[in-house]
Amino acid sequence: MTLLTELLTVLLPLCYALLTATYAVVFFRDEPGMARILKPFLSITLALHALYIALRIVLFRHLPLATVFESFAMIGLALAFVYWIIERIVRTPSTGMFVLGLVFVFQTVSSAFIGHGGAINPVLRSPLFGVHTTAAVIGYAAFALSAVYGTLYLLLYHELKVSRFGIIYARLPSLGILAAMHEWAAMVGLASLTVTIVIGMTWLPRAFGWAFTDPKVLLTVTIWLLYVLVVLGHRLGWGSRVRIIYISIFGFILLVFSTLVVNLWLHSFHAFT
Amino acid sequence: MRSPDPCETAPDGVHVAVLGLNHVSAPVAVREEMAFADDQAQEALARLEAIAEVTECVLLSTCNRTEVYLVSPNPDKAVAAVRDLLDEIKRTTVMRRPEWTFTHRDAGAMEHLFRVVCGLDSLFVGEAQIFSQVKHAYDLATQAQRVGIVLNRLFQAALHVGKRVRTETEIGAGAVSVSSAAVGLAEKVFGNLNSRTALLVGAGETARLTAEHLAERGIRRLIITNRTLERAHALAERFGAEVIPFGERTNALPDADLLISATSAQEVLFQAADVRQAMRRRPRRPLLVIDLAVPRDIDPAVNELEDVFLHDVDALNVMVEQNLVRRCKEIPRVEEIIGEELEEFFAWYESLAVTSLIMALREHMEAIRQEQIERYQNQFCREDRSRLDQFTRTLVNRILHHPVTRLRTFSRDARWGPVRLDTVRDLFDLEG
Repeated sequence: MTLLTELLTVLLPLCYALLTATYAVVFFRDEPGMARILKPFLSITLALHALYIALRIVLFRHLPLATVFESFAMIGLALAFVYWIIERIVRTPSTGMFVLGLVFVFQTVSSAFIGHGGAINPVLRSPLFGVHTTAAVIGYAAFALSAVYGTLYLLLYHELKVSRFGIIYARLPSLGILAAMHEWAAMVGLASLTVTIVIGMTWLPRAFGWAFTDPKVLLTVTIWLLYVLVVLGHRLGWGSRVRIIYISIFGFILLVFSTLVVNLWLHSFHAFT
Repeated sequence: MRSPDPCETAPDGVHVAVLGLNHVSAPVAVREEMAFADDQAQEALARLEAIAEVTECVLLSTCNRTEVYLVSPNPDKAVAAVRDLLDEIKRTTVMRRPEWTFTHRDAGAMEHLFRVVCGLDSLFVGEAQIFSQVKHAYDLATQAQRVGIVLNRLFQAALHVGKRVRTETEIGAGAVSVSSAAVGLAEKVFGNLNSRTALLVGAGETARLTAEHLAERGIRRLIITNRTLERAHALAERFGAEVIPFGERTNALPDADLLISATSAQEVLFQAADVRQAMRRRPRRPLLVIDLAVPRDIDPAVNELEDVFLHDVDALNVMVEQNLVRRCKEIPRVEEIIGEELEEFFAWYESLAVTSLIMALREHMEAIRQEQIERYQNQFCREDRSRLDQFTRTLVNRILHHPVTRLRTFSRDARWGPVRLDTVRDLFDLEG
């Protein structure tokens, strides 16, 4: 079991690299032969990823969310799964290269630094912790998707402004669809992060004592406020859409920073090993 | 894959031919003269029935072509008769002018139809409309009971090829006219147009074509304005659009998602300030502005406004050229598919000859059997006669089994098949 887990740790980044490259070939060259293998290839990779997470749960007896790198593997899986659903709904692989490229980054960082067990904080066995972290993972994956679709919106917006009808114009969905996908992903992310924060706030004092000055908590609340602005901006028509998308991308960068930098280099109770 | 040689022999008594003119062979005035509306096409199909040499026919008439596909045992006579009939119906001599018309026979006619339905023979390579036009022509001929076994199979095969090339290649990708490119751009910005409003300025040919494309794509609301209001009303009537006075054009901007201007005005009709003011009254809704006029109707500075996308005729021409190049790159792949499908169809077509020969051979053997039974049945008692009938029937079937199986394979042998079939005909003195 350990050998298989270690094998998948190496194999998954390779699979995502190959998958992203295949999606890129379909995006740039529209090869029908390649397009046919995308679906089964993505499904197999997703199954391997799910197996990898399951193996880690069985092997280490806790949800793989104890470290930032375990969280990255979970976010990668959530992101790939959401994309798998989206591709079945919109029936076009045109945004796969971008989403799966991001999954590749998450999984590669995760595989490179993920540990193999060690002493685990008993708080990880709490059911509230499971809900708290699952909501956080869904929220992070949704924000990542929102950032991808926001970036694609900006790319297409720019191409339309300068009347350039190249590959971006030909392959991406319409500006309207990209805006809607950005908005929905941001809303799902905000709802999930709200659940994460509410559970964290009620459960924090019991688990760790008063910890609201923790850098991770402060940054998460800041990110939440930014996405409140993004969602309200979308719904109520505040400011320009381009500016709202820039805010959401900034929010996502801050989120990666809060997950990676704060957990690694600043003192935070969000380190469980 | 081998494409059938147009000179290959067709089954005896069954020839396919096409007589027509198109945008390559005839100027637009001639094509207009020979165009058949649906009611005229029905009349022509009815009159074609009177030509004894034509056993099946389909009349395809579009703005770029008029073609009659026919099946006949004597194609030369049939084509001449159809030529005369079309000229008689249109009271002209166009079809008798060899420089404006063309004819193809058998494999050549089949290949021509396959190329037509795939859009390879169209003015804009890969245009999609021809597919539905071919289907419509086939439906009309079917309703008029002018389609038999050969044309039925041929048109079904052609429609299958048309669908296949549009699924497997990019022959129909992208817009190839400025007006359709403008509507394609709108779809790239808004997605579906059925909840959108367009303001169309102008009532000339470009405006008409654009209105046609917008209506086809299901635009929810179309507002038309023109300096001469009568022309705007005439255009609006065709597309169920609203008309506003020319002087109120900027007042309609806050409602519009799409502004298309195609006038011959010498001055700018929409200043950046007009559009800026309109955008303030419709926050967060993108505005696509397409200027198809030369000189331009819209101040280029509007493109600097947020959520406003301005494209002029040069930008759209670049898009059209790119799409045409993209489509042309697909031609070899389309021709490969046509070759594959043509070969399959031709195998069936040639098997018609074998089928009729097999039937003739069986009839010949049956005649001999009947003759011999007649001759000898009195030598058998009444009870044995049915056994004799059964015995001779089985014997003939057993004797014919191997030759019939071999005969079926001859249709797949392009080189020696026809010679072998002739030998069999000769040996048994058959006419199938």
